[in-house]
Amino acid sequence: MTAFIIRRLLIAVPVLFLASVLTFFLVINSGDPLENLRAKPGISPQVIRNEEVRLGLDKPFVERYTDWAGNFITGDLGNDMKNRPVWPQLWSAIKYTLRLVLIAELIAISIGLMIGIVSGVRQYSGFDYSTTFISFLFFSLPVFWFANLLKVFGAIKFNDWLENPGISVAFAVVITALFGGSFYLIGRKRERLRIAKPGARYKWSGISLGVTALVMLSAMFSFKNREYGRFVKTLGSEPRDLADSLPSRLWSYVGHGVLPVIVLFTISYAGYSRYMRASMLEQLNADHVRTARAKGISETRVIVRHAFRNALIPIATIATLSWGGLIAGAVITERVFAWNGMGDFFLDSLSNPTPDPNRLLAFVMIAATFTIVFNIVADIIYAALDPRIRVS
Amino acid sequence: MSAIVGSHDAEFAVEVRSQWRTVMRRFFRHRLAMISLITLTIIFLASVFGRYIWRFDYMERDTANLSQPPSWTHPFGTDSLGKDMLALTLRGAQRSILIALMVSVLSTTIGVTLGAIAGYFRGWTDAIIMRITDLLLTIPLLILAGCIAWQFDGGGSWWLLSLILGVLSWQGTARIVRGEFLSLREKEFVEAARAIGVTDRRIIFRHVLPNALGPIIVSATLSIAGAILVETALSYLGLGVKAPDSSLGLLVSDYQAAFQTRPWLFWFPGIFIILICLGVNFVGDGLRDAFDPKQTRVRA
Repeated sequence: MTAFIIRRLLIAVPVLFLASVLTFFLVINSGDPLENLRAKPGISPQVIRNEEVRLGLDKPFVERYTDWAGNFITGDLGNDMKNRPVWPQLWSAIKYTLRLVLIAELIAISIGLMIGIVSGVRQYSGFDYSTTFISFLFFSLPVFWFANLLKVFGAIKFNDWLENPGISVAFAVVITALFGGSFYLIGRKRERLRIAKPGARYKWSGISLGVTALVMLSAMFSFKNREYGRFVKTLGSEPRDLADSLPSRLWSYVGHGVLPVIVLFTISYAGYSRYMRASMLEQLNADHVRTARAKGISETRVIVRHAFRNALIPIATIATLSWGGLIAGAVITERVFAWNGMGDFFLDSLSNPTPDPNRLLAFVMIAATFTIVFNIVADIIYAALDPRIRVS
Repeated sequence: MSAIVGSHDAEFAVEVRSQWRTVMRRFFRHRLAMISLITLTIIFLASVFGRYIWRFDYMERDTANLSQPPSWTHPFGTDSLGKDMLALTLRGAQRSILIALMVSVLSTTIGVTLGAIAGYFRGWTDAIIMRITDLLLTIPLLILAGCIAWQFDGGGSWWLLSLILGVLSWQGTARIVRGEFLSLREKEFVEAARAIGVTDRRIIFRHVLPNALGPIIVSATLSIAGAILVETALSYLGLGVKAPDSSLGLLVSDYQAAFQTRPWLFWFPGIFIILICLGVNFVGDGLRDAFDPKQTRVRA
């Protein structure tokens, strides 16, 4: 195991090296960072000369690269073009982004796997078709557009509503009809499958549940929510005044995070549910599941113990592959919601005013390292789940 | 393509369906894929020929109707300069679709070539190509494309952006094709071809590639959807297509501030992106099902 990890890390070294050379080459040849300074009147040649030396512009490409690489190996990411150290800025960005990405990923994995299992077990059912459609919709959703949409409907309009909550008659009718209708359909199906006793009043129990839900909803929002003001935030990554009490601060974190998390959730949920469904289908048609059924094991046990466990194995690889998509998604999400995360860091580095080599290199190195580490973790999980695979 | 086997006994004639015919049949029975294909065709034709038919040009300013909500004259409304939103959306869609098609063609060509070489020759060639693939997979596409697009001043032009995206997004196809080639090259028919002295090039293109065409077509189709999303995202961030050129992402970015006051300016470009991607994804899914030899049940 140790040997495996060490070997994988050794393979990672040339990949990181090439990635850094590629980035370095791209960034270095992207215009003169001192263009504005040179154009200014009354700047002495000495000042410009000093700046050139500070940014290393007087040196050839290879020497600039080796300078950077030498510092990088010792753990020094250097200063950016405005002469601020890169690492503190990047570290605070990583903290925000990781918080966002990890929470979204956890929710996406748990919901995605659950939905995937059910739609795999109930293949070609109404549930399967509707979740498939939702997954495809999420696959096709432009992140920037959806994030803006959420900003208006999830935050501004929702906050307006919270300030003066009320449920219209039409909404009440729709909610009740929705509950009543879905329970009626479930009941009819169960009666046809002879699971439920004939004559069970699903329709009425559904409608009564809908009414109960309505009463509870209106009770929840009948008090004016003055304490936390406009709860769902559209901008910023954390509460401004940190002097507040802990619960209200936590509440504020939730308010700031809920919309970006929803956006990132839609990015990775679809992948998990689709792959889990496919994986589940493959397992359910496998020989060992047929054997398990033939032994007379209960269907629940067959699904949970025999199919689900094996179906999890390929998911380990999907989890790492979705990382790249999440980082890209985080770049856009953070731009829309004005979070100071890695996406913001990246976009700022591009126009600082010209691409900033040290900042971009640091960013690419961190992003690549995460990908490589996740890949190694996936391989280890893979081996742990599947005894046929040995890492050595 | 069908042939009659045992034609001397017409009563027991068996119609042989070629693989392509089976695939086509399965695909045409896939209702959602067919609906998507029709929708896509309509959007495509409208975006290409729309400007010759539609009464407003995207440059034209209808100064009598500034910031109008959707109406009969302007089905998608107008912006604050009086430009017709339908004309603008169609032009944006045309650019986005064009870029996506270019990216798909380019990335599939590169991916198939590299994947085929890696899978067929194995050994060192394989190792080097796959390490390059890994390298490009470690850096997220949006990041790499953003860095490069910035170099060329946002690509500014659509063809440069499609070139950049195409050159950077072939990794998935290459992996799939390599996998197919690795297994196909061990098959008897390849061995037979090699035994009678067929050249490597001919084996790759005439014997192996046609058998790997299913997954390639599917991944080429799906890459169109991916390309549209990446391109619109880059254009939205200001790293892709730039004015005076147009793209659906650029339109969303231009009009996002108007969402509260003039929502129609925001809705239509976004809905077009979703419609195109959704359509492409469903067609891809239909093709995958159609090509899948294990698929016996024809989906309703």
